[in-house]
Amino acid sequence: MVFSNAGKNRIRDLLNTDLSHGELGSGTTAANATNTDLVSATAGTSLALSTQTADKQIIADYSLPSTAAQGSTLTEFGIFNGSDLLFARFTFSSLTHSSTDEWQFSTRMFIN
Amino acid sequence: MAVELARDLVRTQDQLGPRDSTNLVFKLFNDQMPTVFWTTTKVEQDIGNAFVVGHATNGVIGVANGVGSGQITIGTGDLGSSSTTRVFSGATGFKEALRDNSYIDTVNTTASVVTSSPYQVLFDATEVLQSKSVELGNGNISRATLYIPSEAISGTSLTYQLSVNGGSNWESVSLNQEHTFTNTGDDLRYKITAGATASSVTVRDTSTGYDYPITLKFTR
Repeated sequence: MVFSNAGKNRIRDLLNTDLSHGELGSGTTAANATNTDLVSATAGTSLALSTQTADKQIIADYSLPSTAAQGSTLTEFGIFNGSDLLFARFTFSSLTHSSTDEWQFSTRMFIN
Repeated sequence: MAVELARDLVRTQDQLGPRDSTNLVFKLFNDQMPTVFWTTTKVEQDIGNAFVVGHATNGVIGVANGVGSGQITIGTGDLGSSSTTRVFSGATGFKEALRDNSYIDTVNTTASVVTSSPYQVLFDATEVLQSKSVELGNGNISRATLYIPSEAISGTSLTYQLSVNGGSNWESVSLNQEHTFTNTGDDLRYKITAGATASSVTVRDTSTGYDYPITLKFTR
């Protein structure tokens, strides 16, 4: 059975409608498919995603303003739907959010 | 999906012979579920002199010497520099589907990148497709493999290079063969160059089973 391009774009649209927000945290446990939430979410970082679509593709943009989580050391990022269902998570070596910077995470997802 | 029945003949009682203990066999062909591939880029934007509501320094009207120095004024604030500090590609590696220019280095790319159907890169003689960072800041990368299916390439004379230090040094690679870097770094990029006699060579999405003509897998 082959999934058609129209079918994949339907999945894209359903996913795009469902995606809601991103969040940063300080958990360091490696991402695993059994994850259901960030390991340790950081207050003030749960913020709406801005999405755009192309053929079989979604780009989800998350922006952390300079006024949020100032001075926090962050090590994980996740994206969620409106019911706080974790869609994807990854970890990274620690970064400290300076009050002089905005952070932008742009996640490009391709459905194939 | 095909269903193969081990025995589907009707036989009379005296033709049955020994008991047939063969189970029904179900064979599933090419029934792969759609998969999501992803890459995330983190950019830091220096807020400079921009007025930021609620900001302890840049949120005070009329006070000079804000972050980045200078008067902070509503509507005329000046954002500082922006830099990509991390790029994360999933365990399946980086995949370029040519739907946009997010990971194309448009400054150094001279080939034509077509991001509408048919999604393709069109090379004429000596033209180059060069990527931005496809993995950055997550530890040194020791080996990488550049995959492009033969069906995705029309024409010949393309050569392939990878850089693990942000383009400072390019190392020649063969398609679909793992390359061990001689340089050290954590900023992975690829470059495809057309030969001197190339004409209308394409790397394209054929949408016949795969939609991402360029894949780059790596090992730290």
